[in-house]
Amino acid sequence: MTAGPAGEFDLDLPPPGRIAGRATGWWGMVTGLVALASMHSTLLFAHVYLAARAQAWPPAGTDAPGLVPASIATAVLMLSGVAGAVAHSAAGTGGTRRLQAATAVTALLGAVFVTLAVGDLRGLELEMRAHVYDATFVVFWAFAVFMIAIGIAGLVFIQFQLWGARLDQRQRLLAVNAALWWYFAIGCWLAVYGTLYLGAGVWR
Amino acid sequence: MRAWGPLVAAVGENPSALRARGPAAAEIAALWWLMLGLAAAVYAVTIVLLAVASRRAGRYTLRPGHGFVVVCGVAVPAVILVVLMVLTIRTGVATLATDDEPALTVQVEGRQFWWDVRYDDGAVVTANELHLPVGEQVEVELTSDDVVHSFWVPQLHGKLDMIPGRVNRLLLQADEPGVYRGICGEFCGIQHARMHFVVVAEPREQFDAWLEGQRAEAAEPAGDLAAEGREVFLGTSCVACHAIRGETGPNAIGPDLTHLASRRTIAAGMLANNRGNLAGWILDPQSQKQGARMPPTNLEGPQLQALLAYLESLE
Amino acid sequence: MTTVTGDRLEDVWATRPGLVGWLGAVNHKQVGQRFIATAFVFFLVGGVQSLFMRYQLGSPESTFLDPETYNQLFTMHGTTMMFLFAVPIGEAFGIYFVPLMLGARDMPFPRLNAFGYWAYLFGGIFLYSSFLAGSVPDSGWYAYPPLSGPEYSPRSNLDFWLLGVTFVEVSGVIAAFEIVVLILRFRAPGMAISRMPLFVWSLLVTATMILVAFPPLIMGTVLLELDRKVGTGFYDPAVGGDPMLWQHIFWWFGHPEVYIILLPAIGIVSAILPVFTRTRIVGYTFIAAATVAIGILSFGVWVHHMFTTGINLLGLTFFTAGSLLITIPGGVQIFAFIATLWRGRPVFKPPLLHVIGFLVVFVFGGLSGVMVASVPFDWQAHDTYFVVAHFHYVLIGGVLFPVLAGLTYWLPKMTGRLLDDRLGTVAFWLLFAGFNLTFLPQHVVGLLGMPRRVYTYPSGIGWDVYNLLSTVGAFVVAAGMAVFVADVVRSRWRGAPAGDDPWGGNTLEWATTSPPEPFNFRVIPIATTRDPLWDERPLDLAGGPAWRRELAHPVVSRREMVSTSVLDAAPHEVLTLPIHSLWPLGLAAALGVFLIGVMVDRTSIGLVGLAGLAVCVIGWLWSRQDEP
Repeated sequence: MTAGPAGEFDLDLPPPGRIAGRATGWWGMVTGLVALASMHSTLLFAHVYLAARAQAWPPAGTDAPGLVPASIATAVLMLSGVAGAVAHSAAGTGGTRRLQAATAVTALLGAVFVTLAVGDLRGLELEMRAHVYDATFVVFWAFAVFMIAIGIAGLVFIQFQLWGARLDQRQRLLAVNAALWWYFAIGCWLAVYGTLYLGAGVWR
Repeated sequence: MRAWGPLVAAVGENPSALRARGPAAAEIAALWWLMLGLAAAVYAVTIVLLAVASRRAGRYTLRPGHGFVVVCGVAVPAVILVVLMVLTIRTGVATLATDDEPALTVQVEGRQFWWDVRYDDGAVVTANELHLPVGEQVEVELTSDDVVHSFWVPQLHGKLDMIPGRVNRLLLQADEPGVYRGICGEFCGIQHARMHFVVVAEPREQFDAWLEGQRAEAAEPAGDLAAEGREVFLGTSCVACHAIRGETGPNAIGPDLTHLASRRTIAAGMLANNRGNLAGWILDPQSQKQGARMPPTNLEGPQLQALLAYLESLE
Repeated sequence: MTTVTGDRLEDVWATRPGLVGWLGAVNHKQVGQRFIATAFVFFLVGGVQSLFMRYQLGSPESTFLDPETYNQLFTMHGTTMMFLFAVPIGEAFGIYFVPLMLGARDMPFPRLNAFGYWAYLFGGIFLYSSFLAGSVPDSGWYAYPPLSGPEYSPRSNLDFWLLGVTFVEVSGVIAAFEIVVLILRFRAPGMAISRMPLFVWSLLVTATMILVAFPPLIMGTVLLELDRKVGTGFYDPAVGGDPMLWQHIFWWFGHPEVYIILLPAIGIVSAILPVFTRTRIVGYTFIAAATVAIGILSFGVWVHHMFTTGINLLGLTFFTAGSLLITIPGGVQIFAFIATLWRGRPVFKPPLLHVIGFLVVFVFGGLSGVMVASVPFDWQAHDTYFVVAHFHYVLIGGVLFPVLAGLTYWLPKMTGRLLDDRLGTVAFWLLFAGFNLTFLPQHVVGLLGMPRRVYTYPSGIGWDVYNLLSTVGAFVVAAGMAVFVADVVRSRWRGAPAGDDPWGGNTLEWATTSPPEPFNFRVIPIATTRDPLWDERPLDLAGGPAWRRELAHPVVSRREMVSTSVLDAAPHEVLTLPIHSLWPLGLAAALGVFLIGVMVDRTSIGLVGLAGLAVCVIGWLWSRQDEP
């Protein structure tokens, strides 16, 4: 304890691993995600704004996207979220093996999701130049899927880093951040799924 | 120095928002003077406090603290702002529609860099000149076919944008006969600066007579020279963009010329409408208004004389 | 450059020798210094552009500039001042001085910080390379479609603008992100959030606002670029788009932007006032709370730039209310400053002169801001010279005077040399007089109906004399700036040595040497009051915990820093920071190559850029670069 003009307070470092609060890197990731979220929100706003002004949304001659393929893809993505949560907890206290397995499953399910989602988008045969509905759909969709793709790349990167190495503080932090990113990417997709698919009838 | 006398005579002297000639502009000007008074008082008090604080500093027994900040920074401004809010709403509502139906509706479309003006749902087409009956509410429908423009007659009302894909409505009323300058208020490209127009407010009888005259198709050329000029008009590139009712089909690429000679200006309020300006404009618009959409026209001397004679006959 | 001194702390914090060392430097002072210098150069360039414009408008029907050139100049003037000067200079002061004020040794992510600088520099060069290509942006700093769209700006002008601005915005977001984490995590032990300097408060709020305001504009510019390059129609009513969508997105960014620019300047004033009045600031909590309130309210006022677009009166009135409300926290700050001045004993040296200039001019601009917040009046004033006058009062009064105050105050800390008081005073009075002469008449000519963004105006309708006065004033301002620059240059060789603390400062940056050692503080300071240098001895090593001695005399060759907890700044852990890295430069260059590829429609160049980006990101994440 040290006495200062403002009273007593503890100047000693807490023992390693017993730090109350988050790591600096955690704050960095959360701050960065705030910036990305405000980008994604802009697309959501653009969609709502244009839809509210349109005579019909989707425009006459364009069908609302089918719910089944997108819902299956969403379910897979939610599963990957569970795997991501396991990886998250393993990054905190668990061993290398568990972390490796959980990140691998997360990345794999993510890849399945991307495959399904891309297949679904291709089936919709949107023409970006023909109507702003198509363009908005594609860009809004692509932002979310791109976030997931980057998440997959990050998870693969962690796999490489974990290869035969001992789990140190820095790698744990990297894995925690990958998990945070993954939650964020899922959130982006849920916004897309909720607006473009489930909410397709709202502006009819 | 250019001779600007004729142009000022054609477009009006001083387009000041404070020389209001219509009820909306008058309301806004009154609001301005009120706000100016309030602001001047606030500024004077603040500067006096600042001066006292700087000059007598540290030697005063009165030592302002949190109370001073709360009173000057929160309480007093809050009262003033409530007053301003009420004034704003009151003025805003006053400039909007009254219960009366507008006396007539005019369509004005902003174009790079001129104004297409239509009365009677398009039966009367003119350009860069808006005529209003004095003392009556006129609804102006504002649209744009290319980029964002803004319709502004400072002496009659505030500005309202012309946005592609939308129709904005402005209620315009002039209380005194006169000629008022209209201005494009939103940057719209290379010649935004040269996109003015003329508002002519006149008594009802004169307005009706004007509108009646505008309804007519173009006059038959009065003499041989003018008749020759008509052939020049129809035989050269003019007709690709300009319409003259009775002689050509509709064409909205450039201003309608059916009654060109009755207008006070050409080139969107840039030049007084006289023979010399018209000749220069036809031959070489780009040297006077670089970037305007009108290309130069290559005419021999006699052809030009004939064309001018014809255009000047289009009363 | 480096000489091994045998002192491990000095050796590990020294910049590596040679060009590679310079390019790979990541320390916040080097990055901050480059930021400040670059922003100032852009400011001078933007100022020269305004002189050309003022000369053109000095007389009616002038043919000094053709309309195309004039439109390019006002576009680049606005773009330069807003994106390349005002935002970066605020962040630059933050990057250089916040770590010093917090008692930190560096930013939390120094490599990212360096990347932010390179992105800013390259973005600015990208924008200005449009002059070489002969295709300078000409749609205004706000680039409204359809004028900025593919049909009405078919050449590459707007691509330079959109991509260049995006590049600079990325830099802005990166710096903001750095500053937020820095302030939350790297405060000196004991400096609870309620004790940090007000300058730091203003940067915390500013940086948070940037994180929410800039990314939407990046997205909006991406959509406009898609319209231009891919042929989509987000802003084209012909296919269901809407030009108003851009206006909403732009002003969602654009109004907070004004406060993003303003708040760091308010922070500078809060830093200087107590020192030059020899008293503690009045209403610390009020000022900090007002800063936060401004940050929040500024997101509720964007439509006041769109009062003339035909939105109904009820909707507009809501935004009038928001715009009026924001004057209350502004007023709180102003009167807290006046109260501080009143209680203290002011020392009228150039920093305080500029602060007084700020108060006199900024209050004026704030009052005209209240006027244009009133919907009906704005219908008249919008897009006229009245508005031009208003925002120059706010921006020059609210930003330039504080920035010059900040430079005269802190330059001695950066260079170790004082500026000249007499030259500084002359510069101030020239600027102050010239400024008012330039912009006071513009209020009048705006009310007389003169719109903005016109390359010329007709004679004989009452606008001539006001424009002539403005033009004369602009050249007086230029003379004042010339004196200021001359003073700065002179101080480099002839300036009196500043010593550690020439002003008797209250905050931690005055506790270290001028210029600061690369590691800022050998002993990590402890601060338990708001004015640590006035109340305690923050660098006293005696009796402290062991880690402080270890950080002062390290046993390993690493750049070490202690992180602290978010609210009460209790020590958390000792972190290791990178020493040197070329990845930031590589990453910014790769991003530049990618944008050039987009610009010239060459997929191959774009792919090279993307590949470079991938390589740099992986290389960056893989390497730690905190071992010498």
